[in-house]
Amino acid sequence: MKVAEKGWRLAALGGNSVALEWSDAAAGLWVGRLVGAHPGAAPSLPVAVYRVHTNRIEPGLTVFNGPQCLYTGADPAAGAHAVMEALMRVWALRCRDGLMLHAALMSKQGRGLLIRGESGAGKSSLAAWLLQQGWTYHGDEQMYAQASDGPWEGFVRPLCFKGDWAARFPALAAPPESIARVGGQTLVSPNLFGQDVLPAVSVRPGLMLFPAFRPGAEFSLQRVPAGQATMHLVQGILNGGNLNNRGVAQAAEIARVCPGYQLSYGHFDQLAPLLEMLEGSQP
Amino acid sequence: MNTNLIPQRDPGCEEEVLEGEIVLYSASAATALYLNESAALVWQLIDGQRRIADIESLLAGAYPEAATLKADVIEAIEALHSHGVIHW
Repeated sequence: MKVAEKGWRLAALGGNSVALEWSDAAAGLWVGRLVGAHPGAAPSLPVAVYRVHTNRIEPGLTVFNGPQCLYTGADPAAGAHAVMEALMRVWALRCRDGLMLHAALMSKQGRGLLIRGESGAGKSSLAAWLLQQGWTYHGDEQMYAQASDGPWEGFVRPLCFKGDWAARFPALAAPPESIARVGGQTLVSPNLFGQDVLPAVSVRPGLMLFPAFRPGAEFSLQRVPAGQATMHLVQGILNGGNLNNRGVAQAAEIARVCPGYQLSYGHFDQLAPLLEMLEGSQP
Repeated sequence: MNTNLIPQRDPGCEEEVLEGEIVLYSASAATALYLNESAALVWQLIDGQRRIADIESLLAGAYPEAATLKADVIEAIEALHSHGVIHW
């Protein structure tokens, strides 16, 4: 891929855009890997600017956010992780008119599937599996939902797996540039799972899934009452401090119109009934 | 528990009713609380005038078949109190 020596790119979530600027081609490639799968944002004044350059003396790269050095070092994956965390933090802090949620977002035919669970619940693995089944990936960690029937948006970042993700997807032949490791996590481009076009900026509200993955677990899929679904959402609100009553009313509005399901599973081979339910519920 | 106590709702408490269940948000305790259908019934009978015994009596009349009703009411009241959404 040819990248301009200098350039910038806007990425937005929940109406707030951030700018990533680069000052050399290698830094531009790095920005592309970080947010290249995220749909472009309409021109707007960014709420934060991140400047990336390749180091001239020591190997590696440096990222500044204003006067703050967010990352400097020789590990591009660690830099990507630091910047992703910073983007998600600033989007949560700035979001005042809807819910910024700790959740994955998928879609099919423009209808969203919100996947809400704590870290380690299997959001990323389930998202990757659904991607392989023909669903569109909109993010595995953070999404924006307007209350009631307003649109949903996701942060289309590289999938971030914990633990031995490769064992769950043995058929994948991973080109090395699609994979980066940081700490105990692995960042994998959604392209590797078959997503080769940019997803739409937003999708219609659809279903909500609350997964719990545990090796060896029995499969179960149950509709949860709207009150419980509201609590699942409330536990994932990242911008509660900006919202009246920490966003409980907005979460309830969403739960009233979007059916929620509790999923337990221990292996992807068990998930045919899930797919059947999801496909059958398409309007 | 003294069933002559009169529970009072926290005035800063907001409620969302969903299909018979209730989600409460207490601004003073900065906490959200999910009430299943039976706890929601108890919550709806707390009006600042009824004693716990009155709530038990009302529900016993409506659900004579419920064997553990008194214990359920006490459990719900204690949970509401421990989350700060009612006081005496």
